[in-house]
Amino acid sequence: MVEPSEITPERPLEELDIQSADFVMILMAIEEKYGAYVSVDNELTDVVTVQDLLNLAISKIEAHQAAEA
Amino acid sequence: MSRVVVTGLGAVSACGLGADVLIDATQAGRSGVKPIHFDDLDAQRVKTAACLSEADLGEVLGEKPHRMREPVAEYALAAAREAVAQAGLTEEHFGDRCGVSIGSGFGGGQTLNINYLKLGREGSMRLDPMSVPKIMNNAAASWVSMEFGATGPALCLATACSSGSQSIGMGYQMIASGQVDRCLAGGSEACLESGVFRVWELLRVMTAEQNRPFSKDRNGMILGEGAGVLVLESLESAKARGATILCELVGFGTNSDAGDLLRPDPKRAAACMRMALKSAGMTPADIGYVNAHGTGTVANDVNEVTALRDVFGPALDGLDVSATKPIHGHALGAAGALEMIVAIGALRRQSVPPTINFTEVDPKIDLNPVANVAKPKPLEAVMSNSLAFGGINATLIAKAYAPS
Repeated sequence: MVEPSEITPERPLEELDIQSADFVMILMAIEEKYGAYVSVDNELTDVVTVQDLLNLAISKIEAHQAAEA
Repeated sequence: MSRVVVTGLGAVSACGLGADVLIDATQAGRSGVKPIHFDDLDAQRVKTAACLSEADLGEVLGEKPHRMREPVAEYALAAAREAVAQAGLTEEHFGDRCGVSIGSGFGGGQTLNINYLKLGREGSMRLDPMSVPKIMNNAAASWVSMEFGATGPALCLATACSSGSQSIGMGYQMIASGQVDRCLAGGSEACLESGVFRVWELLRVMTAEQNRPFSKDRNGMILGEGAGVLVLESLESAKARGATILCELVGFGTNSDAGDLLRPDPKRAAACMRMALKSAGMTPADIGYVNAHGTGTVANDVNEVTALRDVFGPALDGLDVSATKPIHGHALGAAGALEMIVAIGALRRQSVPPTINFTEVDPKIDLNPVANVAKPKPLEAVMSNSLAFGGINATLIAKAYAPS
């Protein structure tokens, strides 16, 4: 388990011990809440920090909302 | 060791019915990927797959679907009938001297899905009483053996995306060792069902856009379905019955990573290709075309290109490599068989099929595949790779037949 107080935007996900199997869970939660589909592929290879992941999620959610509108 | 030749090809795929139809589509770069919709999924994130057209599905399943057969068995039977007809095999060519080796990743996905949905929605105890024989993974292999009276060994390898290639490899080994004279070998898959599709979505290896292996903007694979079956024979028995020889199957390698279920190991994929080259008595320079596993995921792209570079060295820059999955989809247990047919098509037509949807070389892997249009060239030998989840690798090599 990741201690919520340890999660800060600049921290590398690796330092928080978030591994590939965890990504699948995080992305499933994003899909459930916001409807955006992110594949575990190209875009995710450039994700290092918590903020990188947030940026990717935000762009995917915005793209999904624009497509739905 | 007997030499092993190919005398018949049969295919069912999103590109249509027939091996020639598949080869035509791969040479023309014409994709069978279509919109797909599942009523059972309240929100479907990926909206395309390389599925059979309604018309082709109707033709394969017939007006009244067989009570005991799933689509996975019907696809295999259709492909096997085509391959047997091309090979010109008749009753006397089957029996104990003919084996069957037809793999499948999922087996009868349709019946399983229907049953689960019914059980969940209705709590119904009235499920299909023929579910067990329809779902079992070896049903396709068994139906093919029954159709032709092939009473030799019947195998069904369920090794995910390597099922088809390994099944052909096992057929090759049975013939080479003299256990049988011929074998109907390949793979079949019919898993485009709501529940199966949803769990592929959840694994997040599918793209919601286009499938672009080796391209900088690749973003995942596209699921497919179908079946590919080859008639393999010892050279001696093919000659004895005056068969037309399409090509010679000369090399097979298979190994496992014994590392990680999902993360592939390029050293093992390279070892697999080397094993196939060794069994063929060839060097990398003898190979004119590689039909890559090429799923279009970043993990496979990096793994496979690293392995290819390991085996072919700097010569990789001059080697023609392509991935045809954007055309016929990733047909999982049928993939290796469909792709071997595509590779044999390249050999027979002396033309390398393209990797369609390719936009830009990815500096991460620096591979320049045959992109978007076919490339005519003289070909003597071709290689096809399958690198499966579970860390199971398989490589096949075919060459133009030359009587010695």
